[in-house]
Amino acid sequence: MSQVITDRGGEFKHFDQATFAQVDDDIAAPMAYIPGRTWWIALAVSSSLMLLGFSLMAYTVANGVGVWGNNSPVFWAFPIVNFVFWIGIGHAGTLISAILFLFRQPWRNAIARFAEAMTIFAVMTAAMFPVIHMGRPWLAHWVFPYPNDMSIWVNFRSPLVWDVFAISTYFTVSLLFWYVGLIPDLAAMRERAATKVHRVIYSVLSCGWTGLSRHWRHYERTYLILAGLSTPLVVSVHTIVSFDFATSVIPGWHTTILPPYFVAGAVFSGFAMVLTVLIVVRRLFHLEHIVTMRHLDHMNKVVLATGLMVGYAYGVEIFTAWYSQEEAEIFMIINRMTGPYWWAFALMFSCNVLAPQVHWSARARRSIPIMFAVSILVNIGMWFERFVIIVTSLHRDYLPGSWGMYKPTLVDLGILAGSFGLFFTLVLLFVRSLPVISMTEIKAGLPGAQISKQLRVPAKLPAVEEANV
Amino acid sequence: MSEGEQERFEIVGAIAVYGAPDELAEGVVKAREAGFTRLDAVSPYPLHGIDRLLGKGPSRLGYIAAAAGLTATILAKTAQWWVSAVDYPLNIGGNPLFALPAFVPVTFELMVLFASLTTVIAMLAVFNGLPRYRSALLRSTFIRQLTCNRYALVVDAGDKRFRADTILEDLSGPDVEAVELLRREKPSLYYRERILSVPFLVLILAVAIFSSTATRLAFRYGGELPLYNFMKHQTRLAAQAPGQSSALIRPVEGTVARGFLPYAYKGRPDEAGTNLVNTLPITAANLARGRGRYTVFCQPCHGRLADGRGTLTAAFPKAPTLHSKKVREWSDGRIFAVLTEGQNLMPNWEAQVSRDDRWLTIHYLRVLQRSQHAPEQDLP
Repeated sequence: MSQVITDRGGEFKHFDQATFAQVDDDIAAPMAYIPGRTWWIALAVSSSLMLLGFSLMAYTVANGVGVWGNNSPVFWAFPIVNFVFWIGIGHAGTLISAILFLFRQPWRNAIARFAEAMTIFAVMTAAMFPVIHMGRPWLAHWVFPYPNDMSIWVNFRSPLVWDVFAISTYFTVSLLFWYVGLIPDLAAMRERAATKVHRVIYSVLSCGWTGLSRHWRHYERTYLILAGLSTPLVVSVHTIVSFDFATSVIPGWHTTILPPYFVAGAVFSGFAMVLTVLIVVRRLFHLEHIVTMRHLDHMNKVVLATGLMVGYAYGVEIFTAWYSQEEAEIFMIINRMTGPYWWAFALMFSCNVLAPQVHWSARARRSIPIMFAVSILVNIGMWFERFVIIVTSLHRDYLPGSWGMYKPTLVDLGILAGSFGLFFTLVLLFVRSLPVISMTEIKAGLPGAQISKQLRVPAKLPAVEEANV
Repeated sequence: MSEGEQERFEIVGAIAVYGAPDELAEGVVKAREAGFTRLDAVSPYPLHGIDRLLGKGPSRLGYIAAAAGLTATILAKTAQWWVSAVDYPLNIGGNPLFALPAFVPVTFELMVLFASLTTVIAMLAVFNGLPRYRSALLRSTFIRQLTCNRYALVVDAGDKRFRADTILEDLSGPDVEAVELLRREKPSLYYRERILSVPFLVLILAVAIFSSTATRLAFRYGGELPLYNFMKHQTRLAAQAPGQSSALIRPVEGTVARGFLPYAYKGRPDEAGTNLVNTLPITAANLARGRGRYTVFCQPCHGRLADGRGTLTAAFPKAPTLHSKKVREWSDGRIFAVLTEGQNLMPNWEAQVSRDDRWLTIHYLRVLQRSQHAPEQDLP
């Protein structure tokens, strides 16, 4: 029983309500209409790759890991290269959503949701690789400590066990962070739902969110706490991944610069991947006025900065080899740059260190073709960085008698392609089912969205109790 | 709304819809000045400063997060200590079992995991009472706008100043776009707002009963259904089982293993002594082989020189010397009978030492005997 007492007929006093409605409409648009041919073609390609990857994984499980190129002395090879690559991709999402949130960078609002989703998809993709690399995926639960009839426990002093905890925590917390951010948007989607099925799904997921200020108060504090917890978490994850290497004695791995080097590289590759995908998505779904050139410009600056850090790390590795005068280290560096895998090093160095240098120019940072090309190059370069670290360090270590070469098989390459297929399939499904940009955060930052008047509250008013409606 | 529906629903509050945040802020202050105490604001996104106008301090969720993090830290450290140093101590390169720095990464990850989960669950379920699908606000005609671009002041019907017939006028004002009474289905025995409603609990109970019954029946009639097969559980053929034509089949009747011809003089050592002859030649290689067998099988009891001073005498009755006149005068075949059948406490070596090796051991024993009883002509 409602009673409309003021109908202003589009005459607004302080701020533009139409803009707010427009934001919701624009962000919800990709979910509202039947997608165009581009989306279907993209989905067909990526899901075919995904199926190829899954079939080859099934083939591997049925036949054993001998169908890969992994062999003595390069036992880690492709699965671990892909694992580290995908985990790294995820790091940009948490950096954008948590660290930039703590640093109060409002430009993050337009890209945070998308980057967080990419984090989750990337970690899912990454987590497949250790599981299949262990060869018997049906026994994957053995990596967790649980009371068992064999009366044995995992070794808590092993970096591989730390990895299990780091990755599973990272996935869970990223999912929570993403979901908490989604709740108000899911409530908005619930009210916009076109069909009953959509309405039920969005209703259940939004937990009956209504936007009471009492709820917002706890919600915002939760978001802050999650950001505060995620910030050291994201640094710890790639640090622990680097411990897998740094705590060993292999020349090229046994080095203390690995943790910061890995974290910088992860953010670098993650930003490049966010850029690659976002450039396509904002074009495809006409979101250029929400994800503006300013956002892309900022992201390109981060790419340049982290690229320089990665370049610095390459330099330090070379310097340390010379400064230590350790024969094995010097040989490792020389072999890495001029040995049989010199082309991988050259590719890595030119893509990661040289290519981002164009972003010193503001025109390059604001040119879509240039930044797209650079982001693709950085993705390639960062994949090869992990290849260089793993393969060139392992294939020639202290003992020349155990040297060997590594060559991936078609199965290796197919599973790598399949991981991209899985990732992009998830991204494509995500852009059609959930708001890719946070409506709530965008609206909260629009002009006039916040209380501007300095109101005085009389001191002697009775306390406000909970309104339980 | 029909008469019957009117009865099912009860008025739980009222809202006044505003078009802009500033208007809502003024509305909140005015309502408080008018004496309303059970009120709240609704907005599509967090409005900063509204808490001050409502006289509310910051959320206390930080304490929950800190407590959860601290609990997880202590639990994780304790669990790792118990696993690594008490229940399953593994010595790895002599490193300490309770390695504090090595336990830091897992402790940190569990702290973050536990603190995050607890904070989110506490925020939703405890502090905000969610999920809550039957809130009266969700039935409001304006809920769509309230998640998009409108703001509202909510007054609970439990407020002392709340009068159902005048509340809409009380809330009206020049800035107010609309006012509305909020209704909700009356609570009944079977229906509560929270997730712990009677139907939900019944459903949980039904699922529990069904799944445990199904599991019980599956185990009772279906047996165990392991997901995967360890080698020890797989079907196999036992070696030399009777009647099988594949795997390792039974030898043909009367088959003799190489080097193990059946011994014909069982229980008749003297007959063996007269009939059996050591036919193997005395060569350096054969004596070396005999010495090896002697060292492994005889020396522990009979001693290095066959003088009965072996190293096992502490645990076993002393074995006799082999330099007695009796043994020296025994034929090789008589000694062979002892090695094959055993004697007194001496076990038989038929299964461990092959026939040829037993003869070679006897050659070596003769060497030992001669070394201890050398006649004068042996001297150079």
